[in-house]
Amino acid sequence: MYISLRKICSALNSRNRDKTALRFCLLFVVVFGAEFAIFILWGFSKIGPFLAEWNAQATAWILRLLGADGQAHGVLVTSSLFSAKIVFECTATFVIMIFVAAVVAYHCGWRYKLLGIGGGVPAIFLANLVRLVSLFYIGYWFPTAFEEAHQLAWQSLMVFFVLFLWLFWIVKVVHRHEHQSA
Amino acid sequence: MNINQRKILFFGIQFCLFFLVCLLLYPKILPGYQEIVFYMVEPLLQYLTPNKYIHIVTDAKVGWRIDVFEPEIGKKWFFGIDNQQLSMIYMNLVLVPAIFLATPVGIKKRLHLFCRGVSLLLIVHVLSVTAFVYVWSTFYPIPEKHQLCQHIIALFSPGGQVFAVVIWCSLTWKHWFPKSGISIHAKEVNKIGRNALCSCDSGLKYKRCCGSTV
Repeated sequence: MYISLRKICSALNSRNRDKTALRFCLLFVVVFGAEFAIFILWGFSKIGPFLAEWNAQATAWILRLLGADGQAHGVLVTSSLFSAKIVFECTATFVIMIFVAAVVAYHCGWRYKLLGIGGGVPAIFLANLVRLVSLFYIGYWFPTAFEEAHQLAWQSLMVFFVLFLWLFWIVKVVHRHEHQSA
Repeated sequence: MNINQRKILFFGIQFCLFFLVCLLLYPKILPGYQEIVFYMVEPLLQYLTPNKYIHIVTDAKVGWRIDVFEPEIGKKWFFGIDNQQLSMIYMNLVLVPAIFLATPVGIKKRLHLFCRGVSLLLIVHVLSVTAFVYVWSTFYPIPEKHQLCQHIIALFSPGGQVFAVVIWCSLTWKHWFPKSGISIHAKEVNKIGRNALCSCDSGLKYKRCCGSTV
């Protein structure tokens, strides 16, 4: 009976790879669950209103830059295009929590993880501001498509953006540094 | 590693195209898809609530109307779930097919991944709709439990997003990271010819796949 070394290595590799994937997925769910629990128990009431207000201010500022006369009154944003209330769900907190969980769950050093979180979280905040501003224009130009754009398209695009950013972080930060140090 | 900047950009561009296609097809697919989901949900609800007859009726403008009949007490009532709440459950119907179709592997593998991803999505939708209707039909008549119902609805949006990330990572992990976990494999890989099929089952030549970064 002949069993080649290559086949054994391939099987071992496959098993290890599956283990790495499983470890990542489990850790990801655990970290996200912990973040979610902390946020629901503590952060929702304390950070939630502050984040919503901050996002409203930033959206109004960008709208003013674009000449749409954006004004923020607490969490309410008014403009010459459209008016909207920024609620907690509009602050991309859940998407940031997904990104942080994915970065923490990936098997690499803590230095790379901190770099990933430090660069990724502001990027997601910026992407969310683009989302909010674009929704004002969509609400003005295509009012019938607003709900689809708000609930379906942008939610999915934000999750994809997180996946894209995560892969980009792996290539640009983790692998590049690992190759340099090897 | 089988992951490089070019591949990620290629993934991003393809995702945008497939996302647009899925978004355009979504209103056409949704009614039929909902029928399939309801067909599977109703027996599950019958099993979970043997004392009630639950029937789900869809309305394109309003959302769902759920008729509940309790024969023991002769009570018949209904409640509605609007399209905004429904989009939290079905949000993944656009995202998941698009990310699986955009994963940069061979066409055969891509279709295989797509089928696996969509099957998992259907199972999760059946389970989440069952849970959703069960919770509402049990707690909706009790005013004190309305808050609980709202909390459960609030879980669907992040829950769906997390689910999308987890199934995509678990099913496509070996295509992105084919060599993670063992160092001996690197020596073996060097023996593969540049024009031979890659050992990571991507269906691509070695020089265009794992060999591109060696």
